[in-house]
Amino acid sequence: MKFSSLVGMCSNTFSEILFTDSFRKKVYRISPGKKKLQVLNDSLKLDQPTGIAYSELRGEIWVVETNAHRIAVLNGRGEIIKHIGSRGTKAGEFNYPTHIWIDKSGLVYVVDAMNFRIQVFNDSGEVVSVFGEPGDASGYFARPKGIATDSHGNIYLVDALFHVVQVFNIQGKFLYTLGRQGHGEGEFWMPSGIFIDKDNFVYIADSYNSRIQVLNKLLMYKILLFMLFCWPGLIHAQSIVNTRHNLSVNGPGEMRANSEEEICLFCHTPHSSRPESPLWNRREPGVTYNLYKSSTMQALPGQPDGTSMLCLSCHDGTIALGSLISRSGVGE
Amino acid sequence: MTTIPAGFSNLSNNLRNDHPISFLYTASLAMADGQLKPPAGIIPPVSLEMGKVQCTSCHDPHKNMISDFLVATTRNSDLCNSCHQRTGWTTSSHGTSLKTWNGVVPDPWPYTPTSDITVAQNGCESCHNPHNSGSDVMLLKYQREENNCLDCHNGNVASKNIAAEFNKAYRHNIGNYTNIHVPNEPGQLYTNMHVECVDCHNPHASTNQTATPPYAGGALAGIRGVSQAGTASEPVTYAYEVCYRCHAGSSGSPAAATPRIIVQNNLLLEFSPANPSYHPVASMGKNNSVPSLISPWTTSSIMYCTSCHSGDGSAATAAPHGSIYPHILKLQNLTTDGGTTLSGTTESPAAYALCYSCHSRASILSDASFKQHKKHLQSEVRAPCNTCHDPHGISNLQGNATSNSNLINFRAGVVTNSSGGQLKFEGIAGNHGQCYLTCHGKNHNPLSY
Repeated sequence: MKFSSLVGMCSNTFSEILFTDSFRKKVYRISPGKKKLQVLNDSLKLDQPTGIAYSELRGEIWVVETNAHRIAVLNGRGEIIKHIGSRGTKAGEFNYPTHIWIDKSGLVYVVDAMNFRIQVFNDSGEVVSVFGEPGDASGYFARPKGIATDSHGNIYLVDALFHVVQVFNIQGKFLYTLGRQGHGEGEFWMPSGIFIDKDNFVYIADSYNSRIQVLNKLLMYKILLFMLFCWPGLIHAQSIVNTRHNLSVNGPGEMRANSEEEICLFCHTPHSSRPESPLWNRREPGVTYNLYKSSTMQALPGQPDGTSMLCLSCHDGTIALGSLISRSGVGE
Repeated sequence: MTTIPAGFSNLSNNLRNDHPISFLYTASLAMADGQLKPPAGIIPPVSLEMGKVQCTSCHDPHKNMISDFLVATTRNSDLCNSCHQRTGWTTSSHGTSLKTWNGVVPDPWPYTPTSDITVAQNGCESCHNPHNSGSDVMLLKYQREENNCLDCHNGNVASKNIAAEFNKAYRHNIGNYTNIHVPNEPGQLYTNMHVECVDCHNPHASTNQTATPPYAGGALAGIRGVSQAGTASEPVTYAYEVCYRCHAGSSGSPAAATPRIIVQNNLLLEFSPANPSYHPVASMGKNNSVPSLISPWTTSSIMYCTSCHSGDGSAATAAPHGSIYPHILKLQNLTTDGGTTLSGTTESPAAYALCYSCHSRASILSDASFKQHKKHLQSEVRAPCNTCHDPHGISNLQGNATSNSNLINFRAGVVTNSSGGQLKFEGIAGNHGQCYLTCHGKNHNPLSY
């Protein structure tokens, strides 16, 4: 079987592995020893299932339905017990929730991605706490991804845009940042998923580096100490919001839209993008560039390619900033 | 919403004046360049995209923590040094100088953050501009090569005002040439004659390290030249090797200043240690009896070309940028000879200030060496030093130890044949000699001393 969009994964108390495919809209189950793969409850209908977690306390499977802005709580056979939440910004409501984690005590941590916050539910689905807000600095959320907790109740949240793991205490107070952008040990590049085992070993899916980093306590102390002395400036990251590249109506620069409030849209679109990553929403300028020459240059630059073409689609001055593939004309 | 407005962010489709992108940054590229880190050394925050340098190597469009969406600061050349490793840069004056701008326009650093106040902080961008640069060549700020130097070396940042030197009447005329110099041109400049600051100075390696003759000091560090053997010398060891780039047989080097019996304009031949006589630039002198020498000069001293050829006045550097005196001489050296008349040069300390700065006037006029110095220099003849002496030297390919010791190579036209049809000097041991010639109407056939 071919899976198009594997997103979340967890295991249950029977050592079965459960995982979601958001495109096929199914939850799959692999038996212990990886002998057998089957769909969990053929009649189960889910709207873009992504994050998945198993509540040992209640023997339930909690699945995030991102596109439905809700959580489906399933029994062990994959039958829906109840739904939690709907689209909105109030406590208990969601705006594109993604990752989920359930700790030993049954507390459920949901990454409410486009509300830039974490919502914590008790095992019966009532909101216990909400924390987090979008921002540039440490403790704020830019692109929150995977979430996990250790045995002390500390909450580990991966942020793909900060390229770090941010650690919060059980009350949601920011404690510290782990790592920085890079390829080395303790460095991450667009990290996504996270898992913490019963011995507090931390497993981080370091996506752009194509690897999983496993950190124990000693390694984490090492990284933290190193950060403290060597990378003090990196404790504070910044997002695009306060830059001239925020072309939305709320942008700080002179060039900005009259009414459009979305920021990413001016370069990226989740749908109908150009085939190249990362989800480009701008056309190729289609001009021939006059290239740098030098009598001493050994490099052989050709016509610009790669992500530089996305930059040039604004910076060569040929295409209007609001001229996009998806929702063209928003900038007018 | 329109297209991006004109300005530094609008690169246009002319990337000729922008740092190259979309090229594979490979180990062999780094090796061939010789001054680039290997790709394994490119570490975050700077990165390659699928092995290529792209916009994102230096810019992160999502974060503007520094300025211009840069991934690292350009202060102290940090960003550039992530890939570029210029030989000598980290210890060079330009890489380390704490000099600041005095505020007199033009601003030498128009494109860097105002918080970068020293030469070292402005780093590469003191001269280069990676986007929409003023010059397509080497991404320099200005098209005219020297302007990239003289906006600091005009008294506004650097301590010496070199720009003023180049306004003097006699100079290496850097303003005369544009886009002729190329960085990888040969050491010997026999064609495409030109002169730019960077023909004598390597801005990535120059220091203020002092040296003693004949060694090249820090100002000439990391520059190419031509050795006394006539071969390429890079970097130069000896200061004169820089001068030999152009003044050792190039078609474009200036004509000989004085018409002489033995004509030679190639410094390499004029200063050859095999010569019968020469000023001791490339090796110790031949004459071990020079009573006029003023301490600390001795007959075993070595001197620089710049001991004579350098800027005049106390504000000048010991370098031949420019002078009010012909041939870019440090001090006056009059050369007018009246020939058969007595309308030559009136001897005075000032008239031959250059020669007298090493050769004691009192000693010369007391006839300690040549017994007729006073007579020739003063009232009876009024001939300048230059009429009898050829200051650089006389090539052994043309002259010989008998006739051309003591830098003797007479001025043609002024000094003519004797009644016996001869025109020569014969040196005799112990500061004696005899001359066969006619000069100022006086037949020497021979006259001995």
